[in-house]
Amino acid sequence: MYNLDKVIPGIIILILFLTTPIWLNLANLKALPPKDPHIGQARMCTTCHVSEKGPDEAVTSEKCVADTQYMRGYHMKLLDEWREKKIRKGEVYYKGLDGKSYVMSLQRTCLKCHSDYLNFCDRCHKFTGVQLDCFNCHIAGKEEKK
Amino acid sequence: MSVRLNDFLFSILLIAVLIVIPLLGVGVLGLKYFFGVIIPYLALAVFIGGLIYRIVDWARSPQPFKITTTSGQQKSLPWIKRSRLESPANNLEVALRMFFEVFFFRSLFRNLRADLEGKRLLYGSAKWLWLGALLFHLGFLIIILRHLRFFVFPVPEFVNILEKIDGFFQIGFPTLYLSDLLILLGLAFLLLRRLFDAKINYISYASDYFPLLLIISIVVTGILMRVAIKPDIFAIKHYAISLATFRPVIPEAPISVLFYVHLFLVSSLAVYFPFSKLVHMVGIFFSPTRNLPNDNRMKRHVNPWDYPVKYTTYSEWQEKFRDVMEEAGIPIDEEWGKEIQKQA
Repeated sequence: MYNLDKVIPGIIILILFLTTPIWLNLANLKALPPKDPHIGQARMCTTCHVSEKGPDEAVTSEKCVADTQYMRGYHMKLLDEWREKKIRKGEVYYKGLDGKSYVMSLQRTCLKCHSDYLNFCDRCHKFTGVQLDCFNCHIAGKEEKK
Repeated sequence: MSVRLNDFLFSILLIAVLIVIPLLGVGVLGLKYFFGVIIPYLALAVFIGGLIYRIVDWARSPQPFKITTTSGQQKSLPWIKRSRLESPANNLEVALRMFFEVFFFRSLFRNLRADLEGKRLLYGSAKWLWLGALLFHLGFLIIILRHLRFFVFPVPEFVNILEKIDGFFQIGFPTLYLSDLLILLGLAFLLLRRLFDAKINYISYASDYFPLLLIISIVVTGILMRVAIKPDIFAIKHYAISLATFRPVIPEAPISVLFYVHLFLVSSLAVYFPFSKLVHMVGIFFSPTRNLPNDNRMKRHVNPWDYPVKYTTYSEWQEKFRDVMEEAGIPIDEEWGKEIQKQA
Protein backbone atom coordinates (compact mmCIF):
# COMPACT_ATOMS: atom_id res chain seq x y z
CA MET A 1 0.00 0.00 0.00
CA TYR A 2 1.06 3.55 -0.64
CA ASN A 3 1.02 6.52 1.77
CA LEU A 4 0.59 4.35 4.83
CA ASP A 5 1.52 7.30 7.05
CA LYS A 6 -1.75 8.95 6.04
CA VAL A 7 -3.97 5.97 5.30
CA ILE A 8 -3.54 4.19 8.66
CA PRO A 9 -4.45 7.27 10.77
CA GLY A 10 -7.35 7.84 8.37
CA ILE A 11 -8.71 4.34 8.97
CA ILE A 12 -8.29 4.75 12.74
CA ILE A 13 -10.14 8.08 12.74
CA LEU A 14 -12.93 6.58 10.62
CA ILE A 15 -13.39 3.61 12.94
CA LEU A 16 -13.30 5.83 16.03
CA PHE A 17 -15.95 8.09 14.49
CA LEU A 18 -18.21 5.21 13.48
CA THR A 19 -17.98 3.52 16.88
CA THR A 20 -18.55 6.68 18.94
CA PRO A 21 -21.47 5.20 20.93
CA ILE A 22 -19.44 2.14 21.88
CA TRP A 23 -16.48 3.91 23.45
CA LEU A 24 -18.59 6.73 24.91
CA ASN A 25 -20.51 4.05 26.80
CA LEU A 26 -17.33 2.23 27.80
CA ALA A 27 -16.17 5.43 29.45
CA ASN A 28 -19.03 5.21 31.97
CA LEU A 29 -19.83 1.56 32.11
CA LYS A 30 -20.88 1.85 35.74
CA ALA A 31 -23.61 4.34 34.97
CA LEU A 32 -25.24 2.00 32.50
CA PRO A 33 -28.62 0.48 33.29
CA PRO A 34 -28.70 -3.21 34.25
CA LYS A 35 -28.63 -5.84 31.56
CA ASP A 36 -32.27 -6.76 31.91
CA PRO A 37 -34.35 -3.63 31.43
CA HIS A 38 -36.99 -5.00 33.77
CA ILE A 39 -34.69 -5.08 36.75
CA GLY A 40 -34.50 -1.72 38.39
CA GLN A 41 -35.91 1.02 36.31
CA ALA A 42 -38.01 -0.06 33.38
CA ARG A 43 -41.30 -0.79 35.06
CA MET A 44 -41.68 2.39 37.03
CA CYS A 45 -45.30 2.72 36.08
CA THR A 46 -46.36 -0.54 37.68
CA THR A 47 -46.51 1.10 41.07
CA CYS A 48 -49.67 2.90 40.08
CA HIS A 49 -50.99 0.85 37.19
CA VAL A 50 -51.94 -2.59 36.12
CA SER A 51 -48.74 -4.26 35.02
CA GLU A 52 -48.58 -6.54 32.02
CA LYS A 53 -48.03 -9.57 34.19
CA GLY A 54 -51.15 -8.99 36.25
CA PRO A 55 -52.84 -6.38 38.37
CA ASP A 56 -50.82 -4.68 41.02
CA GLU A 57 -53.24 -5.04 43.90
CA ALA A 58 -52.27 -2.05 45.90
CA VAL A 59 -53.42 0.55 43.47
CA THR A 60 -55.61 -0.95 40.78
CA SER A 61 -58.40 1.37 41.79
CA GLU A 62 -56.45 4.43 40.85
CA LYS A 63 -56.37 4.77 37.09
CA CYS A 64 -54.80 7.30 34.85
CA VAL A 65 -56.75 9.26 32.27
CA ALA A 66 -55.39 6.90 29.62
CA ASP A 67 -53.68 3.53 29.59
CA THR A 68 -50.00 3.14 30.37
CA GLN A 69 -48.80 2.20 26.92
CA TYR A 70 -50.54 5.19 25.39
CA MET A 71 -49.24 7.54 28.05
CA ARG A 72 -45.64 6.33 27.57
CA GLY A 73 -45.62 7.39 23.98
CA TYR A 74 -48.10 10.23 23.91
CA HIS A 75 -48.21 11.97 27.32
CA MET A 76 -46.62 15.05 25.80
CA LYS A 77 -49.31 15.19 23.13
CA LEU A 78 -52.02 14.87 25.77
CA LEU A 79 -50.50 17.65 27.85
CA ASP A 80 -50.21 19.79 24.75
CA GLU A 81 -53.86 19.07 23.94
CA TRP A 82 -54.91 19.97 27.48
CA ARG A 83 -53.04 23.23 27.36
CA GLU A 84 -54.67 24.07 24.03
CA LYS A 85 -58.17 23.21 25.28
CA LYS A 86 -57.93 24.80 28.68
CA ILE A 87 -55.90 27.92 28.13
CA ARG A 88 -57.02 28.81 24.63
CA LYS A 89 -60.57 27.40 24.45
CA GLY A 90 -61.60 27.62 28.08
CA GLU A 91 -62.70 23.99 28.46
CA VAL A 92 -62.26 22.50 31.91
CA TYR A 93 -62.97 18.75 31.82
CA TYR A 94 -61.37 15.90 29.92
CA LYS A 95 -63.19 12.60 29.50
CA GLY A 96 -60.78 9.86 30.50
CA LEU A 97 -60.44 6.22 29.51
CA ASP A 98 -62.75 5.03 32.30
CA GLY A 99 -65.49 7.44 31.28
CA LYS A 100 -64.91 9.76 34.22
CA SER A 101 -64.24 13.41 33.74
CA TYR A 102 -60.95 14.86 34.87
CA VAL A 103 -59.98 18.46 35.45
CA MET A 104 -57.41 19.35 32.84
CA SER A 105 -54.64 20.45 35.13
CA LEU A 106 -51.04 19.35 35.36
CA GLN A 107 -50.68 20.23 39.00
CA ARG A 108 -54.10 19.28 40.31
CA THR A 109 -54.67 16.11 38.26
CA CYS A 110 -51.42 14.60 36.97
CA LEU A 111 -49.20 15.53 39.87
CA LYS A 112 -51.73 14.22 42.39
CA CYS A 113 -50.49 10.72 41.66
CA HIS A 114 -47.26 11.40 39.79
CA SER A 115 -45.83 13.60 42.45
CA ASP A 116 -42.32 12.21 42.48
CA TYR A 117 -40.60 14.35 39.87
CA LEU A 118 -37.17 12.76 40.20
CA ASN A 119 -38.39 9.19 39.87
CA PHE A 120 -41.36 9.72 37.62
CA CYS A 121 -40.36 12.37 35.08
CA ASP A 122 -36.70 13.02 35.41
CA ARG A 123 -35.41 9.46 35.35
CA CYS A 124 -36.88 8.66 31.95
CA HIS A 125 -36.24 12.06 30.51
CA LYS A 126 -32.60 12.09 31.61
CA PHE A 127 -32.18 8.54 30.33
CA THR A 128 -33.56 9.27 26.88
CA GLY A 129 -32.16 12.77 26.64
CA VAL A 130 -35.52 14.44 26.12
CA GLN A 131 -35.50 17.93 27.56
CA LEU A 132 -38.77 19.07 29.11
CA ASP A 133 -39.74 22.58 30.09
CA CYS A 134 -43.02 21.96 31.98
CA PHE A 135 -41.44 22.77 35.30
CA ASN A 136 -39.84 25.96 34.21
CA CYS A 137 -43.20 27.43 35.32
CA HIS A 138 -45.09 24.66 37.15
CA ILE A 139 -44.13 23.46 40.59
CA ALA A 140 -42.82 19.93 40.39
CA GLY A 141 -44.82 18.03 43.00
CA LYS A 142 -43.50 17.06 46.39
CA GLU A 143 -39.92 16.62 45.39
CA GLU A 144 -37.81 19.61 44.66
CA LYS A 145 -37.02 19.72 41.01
CA LYS A 146 -33.49 19.46 39.76
CA MET B 1 -39.02 16.55 -23.61
CA SER B 2 -39.49 12.99 -22.50
CA VAL B 3 -38.57 11.99 -18.97
CA ARG B 4 -36.86 8.67 -18.41
CA LEU B 5 -38.79 7.14 -15.55
CA ASN B 6 -37.81 3.46 -15.65
CA ASP B 7 -34.88 3.74 -13.26
CA PHE B 8 -36.91 5.91 -10.91
CA LEU B 9 -39.82 3.47 -10.82
CA PHE B 10 -37.47 0.53 -10.36
CA SER B 11 -35.93 2.29 -7.35
CA ILE B 12 -39.37 2.90 -5.87
CA LEU B 13 -40.10 -0.78 -6.26
CA LEU B 14 -36.86 -1.67 -4.47
CA ILE B 15 -37.72 0.67 -1.59
CA ALA B 16 -41.20 -0.85 -1.36
CA VAL B 17 -39.63 -4.30 -1.06
CA LEU B 18 -37.25 -3.05 1.63
CA ILE B 19 -40.24 -1.69 3.57
CA VAL B 20 -42.34 -4.82 3.14
CA ILE B 21 -39.59 -7.18 4.38
CA PRO B 22 -39.58 -5.90 8.01
CA LEU B 23 -43.37 -5.37 7.90
CA LEU B 24 -43.78 -9.07 7.18
CA GLY B 25 -40.80 -10.24 9.19
CA VAL B 26 -41.65 -8.39 12.40
CA GLY B 27 -45.32 -7.58 11.98
CA VAL B 28 -46.45 -11.01 10.83
CA LEU B 29 -43.71 -13.51 11.66
CA GLY B 30 -42.49 -11.75 14.79
CA LEU B 31 -38.77 -12.19 14.05
CA LYS B 32 -37.78 -9.42 16.44
CA TYR B 33 -34.38 -10.80 17.36
CA PHE B 34 -33.44 -11.33 13.72
CA PHE B 35 -34.47 -7.83 12.62
CA GLY B 36 -33.50 -6.10 15.86
CA VAL B 37 -30.12 -7.67 16.60
CA ILE B 38 -28.71 -9.89 13.87
CA ILE B 39 -29.39 -7.63 10.89
CA PRO B 40 -28.14 -4.39 12.52
CA TYR B 41 -24.91 -6.06 13.69
CA LEU B 42 -24.37 -7.66 10.29
CA ALA B 43 -25.03 -4.33 8.60
CA LEU B 44 -22.54 -2.54 10.86
CA ALA B 45 -19.91 -5.20 10.17
CA VAL B 46 -20.43 -4.98 6.41
CA PHE B 47 -20.41 -1.18 6.58
CA ILE B 48 -17.10 -0.86 8.45
CA GLY B 49 -15.50 -3.86 6.75
CA GLY B 50 -16.63 -2.63 3.34
CA LEU B 51 -15.29 0.87 3.90
CA ILE B 52 -11.91 -0.51 5.02
CA TYR B 53 -11.85 -2.83 2.03
CA ARG B 54 -12.44 0.12 -0.30
CA ILE B 55 -9.78 2.21 1.48
CA VAL B 56 -7.19 -0.57 1.26
CA ASP B 57 -8.08 -1.15 -2.38
CA TRP B 58 -7.53 2.53 -3.21
CA ALA B 59 -4.40 2.77 -1.09
CA ARG B 60 -2.88 -0.13 -3.04
CA SER B 61 -3.40 1.64 -6.36
CA PRO B 62 -0.23 3.37 -7.55
CA GLN B 63 -0.29 7.04 -8.49
CA PRO B 64 1.54 7.24 -11.82
CA PHE B 65 1.16 10.97 -12.37
CA LYS B 66 0.65 14.03 -10.27
CA ILE B 67 -2.62 15.40 -11.62
CA THR B 68 -3.71 18.03 -9.14
CA THR B 69 -6.62 20.13 -10.39
CA THR B 70 -5.71 23.75 -9.98
CA SER B 71 -7.48 26.97 -10.65
CA GLY B 72 -5.04 29.46 -9.25
CA GLN B 73 -1.45 30.68 -9.49
CA GLN B 74 1.00 28.05 -8.32
CA LYS B 75 3.94 28.76 -6.02
CA SER B 76 6.60 30.48 -8.11
CA LEU B 77 8.90 33.47 -7.64
CA PRO B 78 8.45 35.13 -4.25
CA TRP B 79 7.01 38.34 -5.69
CA ILE B 80 4.28 36.57 -7.64
CA LYS B 81 1.14 36.28 -5.56
CA ARG B 82 0.04 32.68 -5.29
CA SER B 83 -3.19 30.97 -4.39
CA ARG B 84 -2.74 28.58 -1.49
CA LEU B 85 -6.14 26.88 -1.74
CA GLU B 86 -6.49 26.75 -5.51
CA SER B 87 -2.96 25.52 -6.14
CA PRO B 88 -1.65 24.02 -2.91
CA ALA B 89 2.13 23.71 -2.79
CA ASN B 90 2.50 21.48 0.28
CA ASN B 91 0.56 18.96 2.34
CA LEU B 92 -0.75 21.53 4.80
CA GLU B 93 -2.36 23.49 2.00
CA VAL B 94 -3.73 20.27 0.53
CA ALA B 95 -5.29 19.47 3.92
CA LEU B 96 -6.83 22.95 4.07
CA ARG B 97 -8.24 22.61 0.60
CA MET B 98 -9.59 19.17 1.46
CA PHE B 99 -11.20 20.53 4.61
CA PHE B 100 -13.09 23.22 2.71
CA GLU B 101 -14.03 20.69 0.05
CA VAL B 102 -15.41 18.20 2.57
CA PHE B 103 -17.32 20.67 4.74
CA PHE B 104 -18.31 23.37 2.28
CA PHE B 105 -18.20 21.72 -1.16
CA ARG B 106 -16.12 24.46 -2.80
CA SER B 107 -15.97 22.63 -6.11
CA LEU B 108 -19.76 22.46 -6.33
CA PHE B 109 -19.86 26.19 -5.71
CA ARG B 110 -18.16 26.54 -9.09
CA ASN B 111 -20.88 24.50 -10.76
CA LEU B 112 -22.10 26.14 -13.95
CA ARG B 113 -25.37 26.09 -15.77
CA ALA B 114 -25.24 25.30 -19.47
CA ASP B 115 -28.43 25.86 -21.42
CA LEU B 116 -29.38 26.05 -25.05
CA GLU B 117 -31.23 29.17 -25.98
CA GLY B 118 -32.33 28.57 -29.52
CA LYS B 119 -29.05 27.51 -31.06
CA ARG B 120 -26.85 29.42 -28.65
CA LEU B 121 -25.15 27.64 -25.74
CA LEU B 122 -25.27 29.84 -22.67
CA TYR B 123 -23.29 29.38 -19.48
CA GLY B 124 -24.31 30.90 -16.20
CA SER B 125 -23.95 30.70 -12.48
CA ALA B 126 -25.86 27.91 -10.71
CA LYS B 127 -25.58 27.60 -6.94
CA TRP B 128 -28.63 25.38 -6.42
CA LEU B 129 -26.78 22.08 -6.59
CA TRP B 130 -24.26 23.39 -4.09
CA LEU B 131 -27.01 24.57 -1.74
CA GLY B 132 -29.08 21.39 -2.03
CA ALA B 133 -26.05 19.15 -1.48
CA LEU B 134 -24.93 21.22 1.52
CA LEU B 135 -28.40 21.14 3.12
CA PHE B 136 -28.61 17.41 2.65
CA HIS B 137 -25.12 16.50 3.86
CA LEU B 138 -25.01 18.84 6.86
CA GLY B 139 -28.58 17.88 7.80
CA PHE B 140 -27.58 14.22 7.70
CA LEU B 141 -24.51 14.87 9.86
CA ILE B 142 -26.54 16.73 12.50
CA ILE B 143 -29.21 14.02 12.53
CA ILE B 144 -26.59 11.30 13.01
CA LEU B 145 -24.98 13.23 15.87
CA ARG B 146 -28.39 13.79 17.46
CA HIS B 147 -29.00 10.04 17.38
CA LEU B 148 -26.20 9.65 19.94
CA ARG B 149 -28.84 10.40 22.54
CA PHE B 150 -30.30 6.95 21.90
CA PHE B 151 -27.02 5.09 22.07
CA VAL B 152 -25.13 6.75 24.90
CA PHE B 153 -25.89 7.10 28.58
CA PRO B 154 -25.52 9.60 30.13
CA VAL B 155 -26.39 11.69 27.09
CA PRO B 156 -23.33 13.82 26.18
CA GLU B 157 -23.85 17.51 26.83
CA PHE B 158 -22.96 18.50 23.27
CA VAL B 159 -25.86 16.36 22.01
CA ASN B 160 -28.27 18.22 24.30
CA ILE B 161 -26.91 21.56 23.10
CA LEU B 162 -27.12 20.47 19.46
CA GLU B 163 -30.72 19.43 20.01
CA LYS B 164 -31.61 22.77 21.58
CA ILE B 165 -30.10 24.66 18.66
CA ASP B 166 -31.78 22.32 16.19
CA GLY B 167 -35.18 22.97 17.76
CA PHE B 168 -34.44 26.61 18.40
CA PHE B 169 -37.66 28.07 17.00
CA GLN B 170 -39.91 25.64 18.91
CA ILE B 171 -42.27 25.30 15.97
CA GLY B 172 -45.07 22.84 16.68
CA PHE B 173 -45.07 20.09 19.25
CA PRO B 174 -42.94 18.01 19.57
CA THR B 175 -40.59 20.73 18.42
CA LEU B 176 -39.68 20.65 14.75
CA TYR B 177 -36.00 19.97 14.16
CA LEU B 178 -34.58 22.36 11.61
CA SER B 179 -32.21 19.65 10.37
CA ASP B 180 -35.22 17.45 9.54
CA LEU B 181 -36.79 20.22 7.51
CA LEU B 182 -33.56 21.17 5.73
CA ILE B 183 -32.55 17.61 4.85
CA LEU B 184 -35.98 17.05 3.30
CA LEU B 185 -35.66 20.26 1.30
CA GLY B 186 -32.19 19.23 0.11
CA LEU B 187 -33.26 15.69 -0.77
CA ALA B 188 -36.37 16.90 -2.57
CA PHE B 189 -34.26 19.25 -4.67
CA LEU B 190 -31.67 16.58 -5.47
CA LEU B 191 -34.43 14.17 -6.53
CA LEU B 192 -36.49 16.66 -8.52
CA ARG B 193 -33.49 17.87 -10.51
CA ARG B 194 -32.87 14.30 -11.63
CA LEU B 195 -36.49 14.00 -12.71
CA PHE B 196 -37.15 17.34 -14.32
CA ASP B 197 -33.83 18.63 -15.64
CA ALA B 198 -33.57 16.89 -19.02
CA LYS B 199 -29.76 16.89 -19.01
CA ILE B 200 -29.53 15.37 -15.53
CA ASN B 201 -32.42 13.02 -16.20
CA TYR B 202 -30.55 11.64 -19.20
CA ILE B 203 -27.60 10.54 -17.05
CA SER B 204 -29.59 9.36 -14.00
CA TYR B 205 -29.80 5.67 -13.25
CA ALA B 206 -31.26 3.50 -10.53
CA SER B 207 -27.96 3.82 -8.67
CA ASP B 208 -28.72 7.55 -8.44
CA TYR B 209 -32.40 7.36 -7.53
CA PHE B 210 -32.17 4.44 -5.11
CA PRO B 211 -29.88 6.04 -2.49
CA LEU B 212 -31.89 9.28 -2.62
CA LEU B 213 -35.18 7.44 -2.15
CA LEU B 214 -33.69 5.20 0.53
CA ILE B 215 -32.49 8.20 2.55
CA ILE B 216 -35.81 9.96 2.00
CA SER B 217 -37.70 6.96 3.37
CA ILE B 218 -35.36 6.76 6.37
CA VAL B 219 -35.95 10.44 7.11
CA VAL B 220 -39.71 10.12 6.65
CA THR B 221 -40.04 7.07 8.93
CA GLY B 222 -37.90 8.88 11.51
CA ILE B 223 -40.04 12.03 11.39
CA LEU B 224 -43.22 9.91 11.54
CA MET B 225 -42.01 8.33 14.76
CA ARG B 226 -41.29 11.72 16.23
CA VAL B 227 -44.45 13.46 15.13
CA ALA B 228 -47.27 10.99 14.68
CA ILE B 229 -46.83 7.32 15.54
CA LYS B 230 -44.79 7.53 18.69
CA PRO B 231 -43.00 4.44 19.97
CA ASP B 232 -41.99 3.71 23.55
CA ILE B 233 -38.77 5.69 23.50
CA PHE B 234 -37.68 4.40 26.90
CA ALA B 235 -37.74 0.81 25.66
CA ILE B 236 -35.97 1.86 22.47
CA LYS B 237 -33.15 3.51 24.36
CA HIS B 238 -32.68 0.40 26.47
CA TYR B 239 -32.52 -1.61 23.29
CA ALA B 240 -30.12 0.80 21.54
CA ILE B 241 -27.75 0.91 24.51
CA SER B 242 -27.80 -2.86 24.75
CA LEU B 243 -26.68 -2.95 21.11
CA ALA B 244 -23.93 -0.40 21.68
CA THR B 245 -22.55 -2.31 24.66
CA PHE B 246 -22.72 -5.70 22.90
CA ARG B 247 -25.24 -7.30 25.25
CA PRO B 248 -28.26 -7.15 22.96
CA VAL B 249 -31.70 -7.34 24.54
CA ILE B 250 -35.02 -7.00 22.77
CA PRO B 251 -37.28 -5.24 25.28
CA GLU B 252 -40.52 -6.94 26.24
CA ALA B 253 -42.39 -3.67 26.00
CA PRO B 254 -43.94 -3.46 22.54
CA ILE B 255 -41.98 -1.44 19.99
CA SER B 256 -43.92 -0.40 16.92
CA VAL B 257 -43.24 -2.06 13.57
CA LEU B 258 -42.50 1.39 12.19
CA PHE B 259 -39.35 1.40 14.30
CA TYR B 260 -38.24 -1.89 12.77
CA VAL B 261 -38.89 -0.49 9.30
CA HIS B 262 -36.70 2.52 10.13
CA LEU B 263 -34.01 0.21 11.48
CA PHE B 264 -34.12 -2.12 8.49
CA LEU B 265 -33.88 0.80 6.04
CA VAL B 266 -30.86 2.16 7.93
CA SER B 267 -29.28 -1.30 7.89
CA SER B 268 -29.90 -1.52 4.15
CA LEU B 269 -28.23 1.86 3.67
CA ALA B 270 -25.23 0.70 5.71
CA VAL B 271 -24.83 -2.44 3.62
CA TYR B 272 -25.33 -0.60 0.34
CA PHE B 273 -23.01 2.24 1.28
CA PRO B 274 -19.48 0.84 0.73
CA PHE B 275 -20.33 -0.71 -2.62
CA SER B 276 -22.13 2.20 -4.24
CA LYS B 277 -21.49 5.78 -5.21
CA LEU B 278 -22.12 6.74 -1.60
CA VAL B 279 -18.61 5.59 -0.78
CA HIS B 280 -17.43 9.01 -1.99
CA MET B 281 -17.42 9.66 1.76
CA VAL B 282 -13.98 8.04 1.86
CA GLY B 283 -13.31 8.28 -1.88
CA ILE B 284 -12.95 12.06 -1.70
CA PHE B 285 -9.75 11.57 0.29
CA PHE B 286 -8.33 9.31 -2.41
CA SER B 287 -9.19 11.63 -5.26
CA PRO B 288 -5.85 12.26 -7.02
CA THR B 289 -6.99 15.61 -8.37
CA ARG B 290 -7.58 16.80 -4.81
CA ASN B 291 -5.13 15.04 -2.51
CA LEU B 292 -1.81 15.94 -4.14
CA PRO B 293 0.15 19.17 -3.76
CA ASN B 294 0.92 20.96 -7.01
CA ASP B 295 4.71 20.78 -6.60
CA ASN B 296 5.65 19.21 -9.92
CA ARG B 297 8.37 21.80 -10.49
CA MET B 298 9.89 21.39 -7.03
CA LYS B 299 9.83 17.62 -6.53
CA ARG B 300 10.10 14.92 -9.12
CA HIS B 301 7.18 12.53 -8.99
CA VAL B 302 8.35 9.01 -9.74
CA ASN B 303 5.83 6.60 -11.15
CA PRO B 304 5.75 3.78 -8.61
CA TRP B 305 5.25 1.15 -11.24
CA ASP B 306 8.14 2.26 -13.41
CA TYR B 307 10.26 -0.78 -14.19
CA PRO B 308 13.97 -0.66 -15.20
CA VAL B 309 14.17 -0.08 -18.97
CA LYS B 310 17.27 -1.22 -20.84
CA TYR B 311 18.62 1.68 -22.85
CA THR B 312 21.86 2.72 -24.52
CA THR B 313 23.60 5.97 -23.54
CA TYR B 314 25.41 8.08 -26.14
CA SER B 315 28.80 7.22 -24.71
CA GLU B 316 28.06 3.49 -24.90
CA TRP B 317 26.90 3.95 -28.46
CA GLN B 318 30.04 5.97 -29.24
CA GLU B 319 32.30 3.25 -27.81
CA LYS B 320 30.53 0.67 -29.89
CA PHE B 321 31.00 2.58 -33.17
CA ARG B 322 34.27 4.39 -32.30
CA ASP B 323 36.28 2.79 -35.12
CA VAL B 324 33.68 3.46 -37.75
CA MET B 325 33.19 7.02 -36.54
CA GLU B 326 36.93 7.80 -36.55
CA GLU B 327 37.20 6.34 -40.01
CA ALA B 328 34.36 8.52 -41.23
CA GLY B 329 35.80 11.61 -39.51
CA ILE B 330 32.94 12.10 -37.10
CA PRO B 331 34.22 13.96 -34.01
CA ILE B 332 34.57 11.83 -30.90
CA ASP B 333 33.45 13.28 -27.58
CA GLU B 334 36.41 12.39 -25.39
CA GLU B 335 34.82 13.61 -22.14
CA TRP B 336 32.22 10.88 -22.40
CA GLY B 337 34.84 8.41 -23.46
CA LYS B 338 36.78 9.18 -20.27
CA GLU B 339 33.69 8.70 -18.13
CA ILE B 340 33.13 5.28 -19.61
CA GLN B 341 36.76 4.37 -18.90
CA LYS B 342 36.43 5.62 -15.31
CA GLN B 343 33.37 3.53 -14.73
CA ALA B 344 34.93 0.47 -16.26
